[in-house]
Amino acid sequence: MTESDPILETRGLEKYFDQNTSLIDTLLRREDEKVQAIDGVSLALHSNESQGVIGESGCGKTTLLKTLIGLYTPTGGEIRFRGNDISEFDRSDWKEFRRNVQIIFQDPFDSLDPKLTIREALQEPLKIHNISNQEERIRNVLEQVELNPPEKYLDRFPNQMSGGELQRVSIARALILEPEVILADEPVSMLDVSTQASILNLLSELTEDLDVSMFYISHDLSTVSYVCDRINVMYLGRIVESAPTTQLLDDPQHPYSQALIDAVPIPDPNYGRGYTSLEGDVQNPVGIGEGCRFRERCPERMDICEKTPEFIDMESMDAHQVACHLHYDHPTDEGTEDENTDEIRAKTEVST
Amino acid sequence: MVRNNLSLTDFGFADHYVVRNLVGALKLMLEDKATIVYFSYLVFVLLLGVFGPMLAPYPYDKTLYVNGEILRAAPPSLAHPLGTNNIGQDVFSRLLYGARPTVITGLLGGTMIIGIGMSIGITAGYVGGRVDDTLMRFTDIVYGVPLIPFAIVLVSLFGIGFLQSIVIIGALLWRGNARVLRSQVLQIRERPFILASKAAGASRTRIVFKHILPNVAPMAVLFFSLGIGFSILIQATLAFLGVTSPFIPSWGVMVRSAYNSGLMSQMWWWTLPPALMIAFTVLATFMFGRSYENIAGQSNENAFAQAG
Amino acid sequence: MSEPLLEAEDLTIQYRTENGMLTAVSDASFTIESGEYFGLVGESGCGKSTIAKGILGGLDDNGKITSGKVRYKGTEIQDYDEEKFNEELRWEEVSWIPQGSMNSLDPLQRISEQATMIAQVHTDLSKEEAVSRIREMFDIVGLPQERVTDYPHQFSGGMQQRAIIALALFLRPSLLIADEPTTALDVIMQDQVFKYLNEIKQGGDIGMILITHDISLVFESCDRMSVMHAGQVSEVGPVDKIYEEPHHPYTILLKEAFPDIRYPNRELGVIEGNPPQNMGEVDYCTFVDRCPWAVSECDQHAPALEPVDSEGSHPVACVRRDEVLEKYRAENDQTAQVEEER
Repeated sequence: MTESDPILETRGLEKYFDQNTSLIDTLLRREDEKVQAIDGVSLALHSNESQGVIGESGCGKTTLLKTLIGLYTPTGGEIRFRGNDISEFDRSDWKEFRRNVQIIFQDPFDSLDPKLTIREALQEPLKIHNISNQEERIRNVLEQVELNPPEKYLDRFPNQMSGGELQRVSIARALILEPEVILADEPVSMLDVSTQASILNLLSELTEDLDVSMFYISHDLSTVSYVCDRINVMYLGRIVESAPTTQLLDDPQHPYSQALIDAVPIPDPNYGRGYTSLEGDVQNPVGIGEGCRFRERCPERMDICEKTPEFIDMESMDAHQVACHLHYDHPTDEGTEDENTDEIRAKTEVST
Repeated sequence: MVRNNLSLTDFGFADHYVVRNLVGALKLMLEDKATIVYFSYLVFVLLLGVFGPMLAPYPYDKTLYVNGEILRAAPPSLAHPLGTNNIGQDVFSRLLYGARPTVITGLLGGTMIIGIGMSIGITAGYVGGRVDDTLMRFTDIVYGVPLIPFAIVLVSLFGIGFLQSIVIIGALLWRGNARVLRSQVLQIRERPFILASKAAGASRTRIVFKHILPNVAPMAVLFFSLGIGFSILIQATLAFLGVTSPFIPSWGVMVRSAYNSGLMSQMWWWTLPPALMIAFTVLATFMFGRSYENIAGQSNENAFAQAG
Repeated sequence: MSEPLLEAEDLTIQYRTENGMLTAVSDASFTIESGEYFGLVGESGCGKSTIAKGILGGLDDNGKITSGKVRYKGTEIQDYDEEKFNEELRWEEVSWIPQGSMNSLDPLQRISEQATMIAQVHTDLSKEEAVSRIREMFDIVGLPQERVTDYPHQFSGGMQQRAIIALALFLRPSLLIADEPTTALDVIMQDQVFKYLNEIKQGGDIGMILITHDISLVFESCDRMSVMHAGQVSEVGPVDKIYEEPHHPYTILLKEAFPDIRYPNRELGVIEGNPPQNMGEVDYCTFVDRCPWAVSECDQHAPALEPVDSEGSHPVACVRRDEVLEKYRAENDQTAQVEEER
């Protein structure tokens, strides 16, 4: 595996859930409509990289996380770790995987077993993987997450610690196996702002200093932008845009990304941002069918949006991908589609 | 607000978490007055069960004579604090002897009830899917079985026996706690710390024994306690109905004999003590279970309240 | 200058606990004018929700306003009992959207039915009048009027919150207290809610206290604001003044801690330590253990809220109120210079 190969990637990943069919549905032979929580997601995480996945509730980001960590089995597509398809893993492969891919959850108070001391919580992953030197490793990792001196915390229980401290312990637990990838699910959304800053700083340092890659999942664009080099925008089970952070913030291409960025409150009374023009809410992901999933709310909607847009590389920009009919030429008709796209793009630039 | 937790390491004990959980439970219990009362009473009954026969002034089946005549139906006196029954046996001694079968019933029945209930409930809750469906359908079937009539039928098939009756009780009464424990497990199973263990590679066994069991423990203690209480109660009922062996002098049998003699209301010294003992013991098990589960549950909530 | 809509004067609220009297709010003072949006910012446990409950008599049984005054339109209300609150204040004059209130709609009642019930408790309005008013409010918050007969579960999260705002406002109160109204909402839904709150502000003379931990919301939507720390009011003033010239150390550091997507690489400021829990009388500055500019005086008495400007519109509770901002700016310029030299 070369340097440029991704450590963790997904190709066309799908995760559909069955709905509970009632007896009446079965009798009436109603089609079992599935909840298409993840529908064709392709991501690639390289070493020393932190990527964000941003989306509102119902976009499937938590399902994505759980599928990546192996808690759910995909219903389609593949996940590759170090180039190998995880659906073909045997037991020892899984052990390797579990040692190298770790997770941090949102709720610091619920991420640790209330009945175990901090030392025991940190010992557990070491015991599972038969690693020696436990006491030393535990101390080191507590120092890494800035819980100093470690002795102060080792014999405490979760109910004796604050949210910020507990989240550091969760990070320590994720780090103790020296993983290659950490998946973080909204790790700061339940913390106070003053604590958020220090945890975000810690997470940023981790990717730089410790050779750990990270997928950071959140609905909060402000914190994701702080920590991540690259951002993937997710809507109703699909990635609609993927770009380096500053590029996305400066020049978002997908109408949903634009709306999302425009809706983030700015801590400045003089900025005069203007409120969102988007109405309505995210659709139900049940039985959603073909076509662009954002078209019901999209201000740039065209007829062709009834067809599912492809996820393509933008020619004019570096490492920037979008799934939107506005941004690629459609080969079918002679020139009409292209004109359409250019016209609309011109319109968009004027109004920005 | 941090409770004053003395660590076992302060005493030089090995700080293994099982020991710690047990000691913690004990300390928790001792902090609540009501729980101490119920627990003490139960310990008292337990001690009666162990030492009762040794303390009894007379053997339980000895017929007592006075002036050559059988001392029937004697009211309480200094020599016989609870008088004698209709065939001249000392009621007080019989009461003391009667503690033992009661205690055995309670412990054996309670253990069966919680043992089966936990196994089925936790397996169904944790494994889920078809296993869960099957186990729960089975539980539903067992729910449908009416306890007393079923016991009577089984007794007529397999004969009256003390242990048999306990086994019947245990084999049916687990049905209540299986469901509840299952739903507790369903809740705990989705909590982040369980998912984190799974993600770290913990095996199913490890998760169940190390994470799920300690967290369902308060409820399990409650059901164990209730199980003991119900076993004693049902056993007494079966004894009263004449379905159990009349030769073992349990408290239920004493009440039954009093009833059969037709002198139940007159010989209150024979009827009331065993009945009251049954009542208080069962009551104590219920109350202990409830109050323990209450404080154990509260201490979990305090943990979150203080931190939030 | 007309009298303020709501005035809190040296308000202290305490809770009786097993360990003694927990002081949730200590000597808090601020005023809110008619038709003004006032932001109350602070971290969890700072007392901002407690103040809201205290104003309306919604404190838990073990909580009490132990000293100070609350004046609504000039009348003192801190000693009102349950009945008086219901008759005179709640819903008609002052409306309250508590935290997590998305779940406070009765799932078995249509919105219009809930409106009717509320109207009947607090006013003499007939059923038709109540329904007509709630329909009006639905319009104002951007919900289709026909949907007043829907059940709560038929609305999505953001729309539920707007329905709750409609319910809070349909009896035309003069003051709305909204406690973290958008915390559980996604960013686009949150923006929709604030869009309509802003329209409401343009439209009428409804004042609002916006209680939140998110300073951006206050900067964007409020006219005046107050910052609280562990029960004490640190600073009060017009939003742009506090933005341009924060004088209290906590306000200065708090601003630094918020990420701003215009500058995603700007390093976030960290505030050391945690807010203390106060038992009994608070005769110190609660920020003292976290403050980089603390001096020994800070521990000896609670700092008074005194203005840093001549009009008295910008009170700050810090003994070093006149120096901290300068020091902070000097320190930061120094760091910037050092960075450049590297």
